[in-house]
This record gives sequence, structure tokens and C-alpha cells, in this order.
Amino acid sequence: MFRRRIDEEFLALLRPQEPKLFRIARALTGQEADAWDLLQESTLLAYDRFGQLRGGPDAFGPWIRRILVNTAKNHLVQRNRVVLLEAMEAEVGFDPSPGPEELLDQRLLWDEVMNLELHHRQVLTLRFLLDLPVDEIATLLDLPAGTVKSRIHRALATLRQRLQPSAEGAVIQR
Amino acid sequence: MSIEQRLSANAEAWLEQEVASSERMDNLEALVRQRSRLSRKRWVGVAAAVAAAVTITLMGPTLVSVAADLPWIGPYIARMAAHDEGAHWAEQRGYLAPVIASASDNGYTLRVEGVLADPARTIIYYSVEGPELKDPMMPPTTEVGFDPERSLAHSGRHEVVDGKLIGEITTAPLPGPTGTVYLRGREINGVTGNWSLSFDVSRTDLSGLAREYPVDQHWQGEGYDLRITRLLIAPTQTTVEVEGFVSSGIDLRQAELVVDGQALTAMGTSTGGASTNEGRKKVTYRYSFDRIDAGTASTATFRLTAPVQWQESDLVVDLKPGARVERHDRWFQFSAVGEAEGGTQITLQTGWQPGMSLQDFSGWTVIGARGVEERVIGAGLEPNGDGTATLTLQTGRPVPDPARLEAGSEAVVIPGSFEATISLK
Repeated sequence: MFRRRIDEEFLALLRPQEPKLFRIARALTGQEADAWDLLQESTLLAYDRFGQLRGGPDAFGPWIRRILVNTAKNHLVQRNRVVLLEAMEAEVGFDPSPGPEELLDQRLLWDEVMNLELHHRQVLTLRFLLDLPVDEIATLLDLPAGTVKSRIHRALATLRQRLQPSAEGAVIQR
Repeated sequence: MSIEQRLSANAEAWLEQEVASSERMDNLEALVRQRSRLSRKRWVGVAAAVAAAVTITLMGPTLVSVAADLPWIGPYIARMAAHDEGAHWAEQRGYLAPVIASASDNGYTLRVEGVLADPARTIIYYSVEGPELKDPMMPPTTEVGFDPERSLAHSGRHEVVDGKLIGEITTAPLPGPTGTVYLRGREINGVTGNWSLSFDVSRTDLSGLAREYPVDQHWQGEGYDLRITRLLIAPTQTTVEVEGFVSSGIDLRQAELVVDGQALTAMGTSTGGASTNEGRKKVTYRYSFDRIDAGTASTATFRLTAPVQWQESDLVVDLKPGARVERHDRWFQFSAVGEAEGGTQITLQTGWQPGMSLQDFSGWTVIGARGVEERVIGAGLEPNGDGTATLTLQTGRPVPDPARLEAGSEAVVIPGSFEATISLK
């Protein structure tokens, strides 16, 4: 009975976090299927460690995000090794852009991040969505800190370019 | 505002947006409930293990294990026996290979103390010594693999005893009879560092006790095309592998293996590949069961115990006396609404069949006359012993009157036979 109460407490805390965790997982893995697998793995891990949560319900969100990021580590390292060549060679892909009015919607800023190349999306997610320091990102991605910094710099530059209206007021095509 | 500031400022708003697939979220909750049930079974297992230990002591003979040579790891494996019978079996018979490999950095020493390796998996037992090690704590962040450049997926558990962390890391089986394992610690107790170790491992001894049975049986139907590829009865674990394609929403994780009358249950793990153009996903399911002694059994029966397709539900139960609905082979009848700790408790009666679980319906919501929704935050299903069961749902706030109860999604059993008889000859 006690265990069941813990279960419901866990689920009650988990529910509001689910969409957020999924968004983070998708941002980090790049594919919906991988994101679900990551979310599943990290949720079960969190459930197993629920007794270790300290700080009450308010601490649950940051705590489970941390578990998700740690669980994602292997995905991130492997993907980065695979993506490395592509990352070095590829510049930004060109897709139809949303109009400037849409870009005023601040939520679209992050939607735009999700349109970036995976290696750019990962560093921006880890740095600005999860607020991780560069050193920690470097550890997670198994990259030198300098590479992470330059990757963040390039990702921001690409993002700025995509959001920058041209002289005629149109959005520069991606 | 700089773009960096804008990203930080808008992060939470972006995260707050709804995600379309509530069905998958329900699956996630169902998975937690499944884990909970398994966990409860493990506690029953702990009680059984304690009883068995007492029996052995009373009988006189004392089992001798390599625990004497590995003062930390042997007792650890014994304590975890209820979770991992196969590892305990192998350790008790001297198959735990002692390893001496350690690395120190930033005040912490990571030491590999022993390895159990068979064709099903590789288990690395390690210890950590250093400042301020105490439960609860996150396990060390590690990478493990058979190639220094390729980290493998792994899982683990740990505990802290007298200021020393003792743990295990389970990963894939060695690709060959012998090989080198690379273990790299990245973070211990919140301290980043570099603890790099490598050591040679052999799975030859335990491989000699393993039996592999290739299988080539198919399950095909609407939304799935699967092939059972092999059954492996290894000393530390029994595994069944299934691969193929499934459509979105199909959940095939619950399985049972019966060998010589001994039934084992497992929650399979799946690895998903890229979706195909037809909307199907390539998957490999790996079902890991406890160690099993096949004895003289001639066949093993592997079956999926809950092959389901999750879909949106239109089940509605009015919360008023006498209200009753039927849905597929299930019925629900409103029973009562009453106060409960922190909210309101709704009870319904439903039909009960062995194997039935709470997770057949999910995403319950109470909707009042003005359309105000109140999400159910807790649920329980208890059999009454007379072919019926009591379904208890709890909300965080009072339930309006009148109101109705709606299920967000439901798992529909996929028709067909998901059973395979595997010859052990």
C-alpha cells in the first residue's frame, strides 16, 4: 500500500514534466523514436531512485532532467562521433522560413533551434535550455571545452542569421 | 536582449507546450506501474531469499564462495541476490573473476574488483573510495565498452556501506570468448575527473554452461511483422530476442517464458531504429529473464502476455448511482465518491480476470457539468475475489456533481497468437 502511494506520488510529479522531458529528449537525440526510448529509460531510472530525491516536489523537475541528461550521455557521445564529419562539412540547410510575424512569437525561437543541425541543437539545448556549464557539456559530449564553445558560437551565429530580417524586411532564407 | 538571453528567457515557455502524443505518455506511466509491480514481486523474492538462507544455515553445510577473497563484492552480490539470482548463482560457484584495476583522480579511487561474464551479459563489480560517500547519491558517471572509442549502453546499481561505494555495471556480452573491457569514470559524487581503466575478461568458463537455441518463428498481423530469433539460456540470465517492424502505439514489452513448469516474467527492452516510409518502426526487443535451470525440459514456451495497441478511448462513465458501461470485454460500474487524503476518491467495480492490469485504460479525467477537467492523480485495482475488482481513482480536488469520468486512452489487445514453442533438444 505504501509502495502504491509512492507510485502515485511519483506519477503525479512526473505528469507535468512529461512533455518537457520529451522535448528535451527530442532536442538531444534528434529523432522521435530515440527520444521516446531515452524518456522511457530515464523515467524508469528516476522511478528506481525516487527515494533519493531531496528537496520536495519542487526539486523533482530539475532532478529528473538531470537524470535524463545523464542517461542521454551515451546517445550524445555516440551521436557526436558519428556526426562529427558531417558537422565539420555541413553548413546550414535551406528550408522555407517562417514569416517575421511568426518569429515575434518567442516560442518559435526554440522551434527554430530545433531546425538547426543536430550538433548545434544539442549544444544550445544543453547550454540554454538545461543551463549546463560548458565544462559539463564537454564531458557529456566527450568533446574538448574549446570545441563546445566554438560549436555554441557557430550555432548562435546560424540562429541569428536565420532570425535576421533582410534589408527589405524579409527573413533571410535558410 | 541578446539571443543568448532570449534563449534562456524563453526556454520554459517552449518546454511548457503540449506534446501531441498523449498516448505515448500514457505508455510511460504504464511502464512505471509495470516496474512497480515487478518491484513488489522482488520484495516477495527478498523474503523468499531470507527464508532460504535460514534454511541453509539450519541444514548445516556452508556454501563457500569467492566472497572471502573479495570482502566487499561477495556480500554485495549476496544482498542483491533477490534482484539478480543468476549473478548470485555464478558467484557462489566461483565464476566471479577477481580483477585488480584501479585509478585515482581528485581524491576518489575507482577500483574494479571482479567481473562476471557469460554470453548474455558482462557484469563489472567495482568500488569507490573517497570523501563524503553516503547514500543517497548518484552513481558514478561512466563509459564502458570493448573498444576504447565506442561506449556501450549499460545499467547499474550501487549502495554505500561504511563510506565505501560498491556497485555493478551491466553491459553487453563480450563479442568473443576473451576481450578487453574499457571503463572510464567521468564523474564521481559530483566531482568530474578521469578514471580510466582497462582489464582483460574471459567468458569462456560460463560460456561452456550456456545453451543457445536459434529460433525462426514469425508473428505477423496488422501493425506488426516480427521474428523470434533466438533463446539463450546462459548461467546468469535467460534472454529471448525478437526483431521486426511495428506500427506506432504497439506495445509488446510484457512477456513470459515457461520452461519445465517454471514461469518467468520479463519486461522487454526495445531498441528502435528509424521509422520507415510506411510509418512502421524497425525494432529489436530483448527480453531478459532471471536465470533458469532448463533441467531435462524438452521445450520452452515464450509468449507475449500483453500485446496491446494503444489508442484514444471513448469510454465514459457517469458518476451517478447505477451508471454502468461496457467496453470490449470489460465493464465498469460506478460505486461511490468519497473524501480521501488530499482529494477525492472515486470507486468503480469492474470485471476481473487473471492477468488483468490497471494499465488497460489510462489518462482518466473527471469532467464536471461546466466542462472543468480534473485529472486523476492516483489509481489502484484490487481483485475482490469473486470475479470482480475495485478500481479506485483519486483526484487532487473535490469532484463536482454531476460529473463524468473519461478514459484518455486504452490498450486494445492485439488479436492473434503470440506464443512460440521452442525446442530445447
